[in-house]
Amino acid sequence: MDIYIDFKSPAAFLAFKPTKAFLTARGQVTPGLRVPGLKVQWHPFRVVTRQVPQQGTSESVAESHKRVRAESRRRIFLKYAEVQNVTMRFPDHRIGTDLALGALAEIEGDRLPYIAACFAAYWTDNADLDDAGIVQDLLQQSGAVHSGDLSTARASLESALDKAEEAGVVDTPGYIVQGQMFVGREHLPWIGEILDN
Amino acid sequence: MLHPLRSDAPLIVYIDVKSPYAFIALKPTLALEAELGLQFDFRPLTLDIPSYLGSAEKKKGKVVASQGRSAGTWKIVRYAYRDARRYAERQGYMLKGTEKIWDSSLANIGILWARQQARDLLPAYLNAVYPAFWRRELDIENIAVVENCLREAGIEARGFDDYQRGAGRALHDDLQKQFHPNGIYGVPTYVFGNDILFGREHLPYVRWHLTGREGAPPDIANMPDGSAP
Repeated sequence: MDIYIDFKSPAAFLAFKPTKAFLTARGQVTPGLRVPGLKVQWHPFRVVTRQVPQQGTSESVAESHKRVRAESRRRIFLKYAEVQNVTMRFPDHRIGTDLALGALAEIEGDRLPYIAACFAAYWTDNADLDDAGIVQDLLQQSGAVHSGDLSTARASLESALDKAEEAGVVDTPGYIVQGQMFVGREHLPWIGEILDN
Repeated sequence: MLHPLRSDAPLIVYIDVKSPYAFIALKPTLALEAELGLQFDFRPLTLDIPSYLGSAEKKKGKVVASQGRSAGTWKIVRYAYRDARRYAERQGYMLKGTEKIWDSSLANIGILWARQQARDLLPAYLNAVYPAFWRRELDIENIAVVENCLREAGIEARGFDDYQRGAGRALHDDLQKQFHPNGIYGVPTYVFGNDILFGREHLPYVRWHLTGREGAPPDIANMPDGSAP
């Protein structure tokens, strides 16, 4: 199974905990395989995030729709953050994640501790994940197997994005299992059926 | 007139006949209603798709005209249809992509008529309209076709034409104007208490609410019986 994430994607962030639980139940994080031979890899996929638009004095139907949709999505994200008991602070300005995503593509072996560290840094501290010093700290703290040299990270991200596009990924969290692409953690029950059968 | 967020029913459900998402939400929503022995307040929300997603027209499966849709929008629209199609198939239905953006207001006013005439038969009306429309067998802009669906559901169709031109149209149009100011923008939308939730993935949470909010609230990744929505 291939899983595509962006650290700044609220949907990917809220998918992280349930996906880890899903994989744990299938022996992917702790031993006790229920799905022998299942290999899981986490990949970067860049998404575009936008601030919730301010209500204008005169809005077109399209503008109003966009604003109401953005407000609603944010409210629902925060609701489920509470359900999951995780801290989720939306940054008040755009924060990049490209460098951290590029480093993710270069990690050998277990990527989960680094992913957990990046999500926490972004959603708890609104850390700039496009800052080399911050990304190096996160690599080190999480014990990721990475040289620490970030000079190739941006190119690695572009290469990973090309592959993701070829695979048909359109958004995060994206799950590709047995050739089928699913966007969103709400599909985990069906993904589980596919894997278990 | 209807207030978009208020109802005597425990749950308001906004749907649109031309929405594939609403189509695949229908079966689990009606199943939940039947299981809990409740009567939900189904209401129409007629999507103005070109205003936010651009427009497209297809002939024999090929796009022949498209306005305001970027490559990224197209990818997401295509994925959304593929996703809806596989869930429809899981539910035993066929879902064919529409060849134009339909004006579904007439069939949606049929929902208001069914509520008023014979609420118990509303599920039968929805089941007469949705699956056939998504097999591309129904012209939902044709009054005779919608009347036929009402009759098929056992609902009196006499008077519907006047209703859809008069009181029904006024009720429908008044409701549409109130959606954005009240935080509603798409279908299916579930409204209860202070919650306005867009998408059938919230049904586990809706169920948890309607059954007394016992235990921890469920995430959207957790269907109560472990099955996919």
